Amino acid sequence: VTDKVLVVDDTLLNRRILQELLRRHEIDVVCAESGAQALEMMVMERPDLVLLDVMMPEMDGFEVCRRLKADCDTASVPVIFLSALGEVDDRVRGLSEGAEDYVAKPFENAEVLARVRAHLRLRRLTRDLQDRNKQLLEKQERLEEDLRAAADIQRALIPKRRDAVPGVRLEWLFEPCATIGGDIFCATRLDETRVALYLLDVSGHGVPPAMLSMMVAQSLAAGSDLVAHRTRNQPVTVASPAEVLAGLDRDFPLGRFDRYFTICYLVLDLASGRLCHSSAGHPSPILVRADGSVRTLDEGGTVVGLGDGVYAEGALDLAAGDRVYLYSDGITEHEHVLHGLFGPERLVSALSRHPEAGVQEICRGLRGALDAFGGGRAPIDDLTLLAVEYLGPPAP
Amino acid sequence: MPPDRRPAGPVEVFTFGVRLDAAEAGPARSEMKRAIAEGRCLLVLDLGPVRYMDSSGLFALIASLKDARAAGGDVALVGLSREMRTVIEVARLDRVFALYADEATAVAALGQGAA
Repeated sequence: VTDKVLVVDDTLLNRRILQELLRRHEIDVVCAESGAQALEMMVMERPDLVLLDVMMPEMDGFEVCRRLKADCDTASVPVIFLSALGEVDDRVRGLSEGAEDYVAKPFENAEVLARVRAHLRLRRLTRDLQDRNKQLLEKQERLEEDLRAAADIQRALIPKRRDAVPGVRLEWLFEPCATIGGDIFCATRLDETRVALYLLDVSGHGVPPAMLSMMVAQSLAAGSDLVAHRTRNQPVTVASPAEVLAGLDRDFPLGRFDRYFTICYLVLDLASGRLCHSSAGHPSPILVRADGSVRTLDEGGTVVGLGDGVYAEGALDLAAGDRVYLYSDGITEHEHVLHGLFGPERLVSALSRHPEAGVQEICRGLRGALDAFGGGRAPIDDLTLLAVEYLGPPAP
Repeated sequence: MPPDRRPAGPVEVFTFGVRLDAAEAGPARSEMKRAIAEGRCLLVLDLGPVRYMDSSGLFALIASLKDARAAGGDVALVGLSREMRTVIEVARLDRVFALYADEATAVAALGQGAA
């Protein structure tokens, strides 16, 4: 593509000289004999560079330049002043009006040509850069759209409603630190009376942990052999938490995806209130009784993926109004620059200080406490917490 | 930056930097893998300087433990600050890794197994 230069000069002879010089070097030239005509031609001809005389009747070159630079359609077109005024003041003024360069008359052909070429090259490079930048921004936008769509898919795996499971009330915080993260949780019915509750956290950040989290969630979905066996005409056999964790440890060895994950898995019998639990390398769930007393559910083993497959299991009885909180370490490791980590003590305090408050209120209070502690600093890990309140055995 | 690496008899000692996070975990893992591939599969990992470790960093340690044990070796951790000890304990990895108070004890303990 040939470059096009607009020559603006009220003297015919000057226009001719410049036109001939540039055309001889295969640069397209269009000419204007006044400032007003130059502004018109900018729109019609879209030149790549303007050679602009300073001293012209009516509108002088400074004014033309000021207008070109004020219009975002023409601001990026380089302007070179060309004038008999060789004084320092005029050069400075020309440049301060936004011109790129200045050539004094009488000029040397070689100098004009060299400056024009240099600015055309600079303009081409700038334009390439802008184009590439635009392409990158578009690509980035598409990627972010994909990420948001992926996050929606992941979000579809968590419970949709607070009362999704009869017999318990659910509440949660679920804030991936990027658009999408490696935390996920669920509450699913296993049979008429039993419910599985879990929360897991895949190592690393971004898309791969998110995909693995969804894969694990699928293998823990209701109807999966890992969580319950169904044989024709037989009652469902529900796998114990330790069995489920051992199964995951077998199915997701460390080397398979070059990641590990931590998880706490609980089975609650809604009829009796019996709760069985086990954690694999995961922060212990926190039990807050209706009377405000607190204990952690520590039984379990190490992270999933090591292939040891040995997980201890604990069991206890819940009464109506007791609450179990599952969470990932993004909460306790939420950081203040000076005061360190939020830590388990602050978490327990936020969850147990007001036993009379509803779970929704408590989760909201915790979110506020995290913000207040971190000084409004954005979390560097996913913030995930699932609150489960046992409502007591169903009425007979 | 990969961790600092030096031999101590049959044991290979690695010292990590202040952060062991997503950016540092890759080079750390590669360096430990290389040592194990060279037949140096008794590793003492000095976490003394580490002030921050995320799950990617922890993965590098766990993966190296698996690699080392598969090659007939073992991994010991030393120099754990209170924070690092908490990270290890929450993940219940204190039962998986051998933990020692200092490098000399760890090198002696691992080296004894080799002798």
